[in-house]
Amino acid sequence: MTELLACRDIGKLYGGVVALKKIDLAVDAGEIVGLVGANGAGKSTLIDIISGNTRQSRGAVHLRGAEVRGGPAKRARAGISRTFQLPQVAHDLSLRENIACGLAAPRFRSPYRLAAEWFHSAVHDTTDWGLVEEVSRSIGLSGLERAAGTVSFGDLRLTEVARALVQQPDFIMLDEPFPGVDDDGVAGVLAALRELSAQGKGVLLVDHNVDIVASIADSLVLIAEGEVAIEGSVEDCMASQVFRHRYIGVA
Amino acid sequence: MTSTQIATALPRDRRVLGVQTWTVAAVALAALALAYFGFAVTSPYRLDIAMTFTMYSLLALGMYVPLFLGGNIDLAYNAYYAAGAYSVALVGARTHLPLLVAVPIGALIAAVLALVVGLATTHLSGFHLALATMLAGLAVYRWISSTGAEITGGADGIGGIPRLEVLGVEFDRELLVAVGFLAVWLVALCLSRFRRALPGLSVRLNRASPAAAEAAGVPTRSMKLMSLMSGAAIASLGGTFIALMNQFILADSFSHDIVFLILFLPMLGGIASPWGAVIGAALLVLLNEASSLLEGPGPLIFGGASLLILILLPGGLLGIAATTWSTWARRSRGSFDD
Ligand SMILES: Nc1ncnc2c1ncn2[C@@H]1O[C@H](COP(=O)(O)OP(=O)(O)OP(=O)(O)O)[C@@H](O)[C@H]1O
Ligand SMILES: [Mg+2]
Repeated sequence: MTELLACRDIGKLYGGVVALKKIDLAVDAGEIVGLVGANGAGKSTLIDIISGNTRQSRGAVHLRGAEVRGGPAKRARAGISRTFQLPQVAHDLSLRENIACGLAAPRFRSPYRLAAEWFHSAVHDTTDWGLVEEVSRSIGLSGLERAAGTVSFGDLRLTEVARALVQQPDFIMLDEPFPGVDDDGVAGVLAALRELSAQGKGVLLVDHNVDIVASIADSLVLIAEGEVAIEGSVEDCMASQVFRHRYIGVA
Repeated sequence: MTSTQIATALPRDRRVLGVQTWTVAAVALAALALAYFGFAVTSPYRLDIAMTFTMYSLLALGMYVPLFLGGNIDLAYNAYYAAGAYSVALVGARTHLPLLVAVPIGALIAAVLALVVGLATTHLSGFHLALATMLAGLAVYRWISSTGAEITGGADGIGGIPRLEVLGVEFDRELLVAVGFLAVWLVALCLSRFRRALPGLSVRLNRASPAAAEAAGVPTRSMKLMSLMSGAAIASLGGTFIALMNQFILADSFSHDIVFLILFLPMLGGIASPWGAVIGAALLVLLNEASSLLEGPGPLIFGGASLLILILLPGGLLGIAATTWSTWARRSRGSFDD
């Protein structure tokens, strides 16, 4: 399979604290990789580095063989989308409006496009509300006219997932999307991820619920002490004593 | 998709206070027409009041996107106001160009000024941004009132601006006020549409969470510059309008007092909608007419009173209307449920 995204020799220091020592990780086109690790293992830090929200201290990120540079907005327009562990939404906007913001990635491709849409939108609304509605329905999120400040934590997570999907990404990273989300929501998100994978997109999924992650991932990566401790197919990892001991905490 | 699917896919919340924005726009147009025929054109004095209202409205609407949607405190609005007014004065009194070209020239100069201010303050926010932009406004005022006197006429300003004439039609003060009202209506309508489409939503998301906006692909830096520039261009229309109306301008009109006055207008009217800026402007001129508010310590008292109102009623007048409306709606719905 063709390699879609690769992290090569990534290291990250926060002041003197080593968050990541040396991470090598690859996601192929159409592959769903589950990224697991204990609290503070550096999963969110790795996502931040790939999305450009944090700069790595060492190493490089490659998308389709080319090194990814620049800020998060540029990377989003290059096809990388993500959610945040702590949902980042505008509380005074409705869920629908928050989700629609994901359309920025495919639409604001250049400063010229931004300027054109800017003035056009004052006259005619070209926002693709149909796509917003469709994506939300596909992950089981309804009541889109509610203000984001008034909904449950689980619905905020789904809102972020929908926003990341509306970006029409080639590579999507979900940082613990499931806590607080009901079974229908979980099933909806998993179905959406399978669909992306079938379209040849790449997925990096972080969650503490190993059962859910193992149910959908093609392979798992366990990070511990800033390094990749174990990686391999879901079956191999779940069979591995070390994996079970280090991650699930059973012998 | 079938037509019903498309219908359900359309957003149902394109509303202000639960009323369709088109309804709000129609009511506002009717109110402006009423104000024009019933009030403004009936005496030269009232025409002056209508002129001030139009100017305040355009300046306050200019602030709406950068400040109230985007949270960027740009206090150089006196400079953008001056850009519009001095374009008209210089083109009208010193050249033989058709006066109408002064309108886009003024808007362009204001936008370029805003671009310079925006680029110079790229890494500033909050207090530092407010301070830096205020200094930029002060510098422009200094230049027009003294250092640039050879061009701007200094404190004496510029007089002898001819009447605007387009295709043989002379725009007298009555007609200019009608055009001004129409401009206010159009700008408010465009802004309320902008606010709910993708670019406006991106500005609002960026204000709440820059990280989320960036991650969604919003080019936040270009976007901030765009909002500063388009806000400045709208504000320049206030200056264009005043210069065309009065046919002379004085440097003193472009000091900082005006910035602190209009800063309150959208908040008084309610920042949930650009129409709030227009409502705030109407409120100010009506209050001023009742009590000559803006003489002597007036602006200070007005500012203090506005702050008090804002603390007590954070939603402004539109907020009060919204609360009343939703209480009424809930009551009437409740009686159906029983
Ligand atoms: N902004 C920061 N400044 C300093 N240290 C940080 C910062 N962000 C993360 N860290 C540290 O880096 C390490 C990795 O944190 P990270 O949030 O990436 O872990 P995680 O695997 O996502 O954990 P969790 O499962 O709790 O979400 C932790 O020790 C954390 O304290
Ligand atoms: Mg984390």
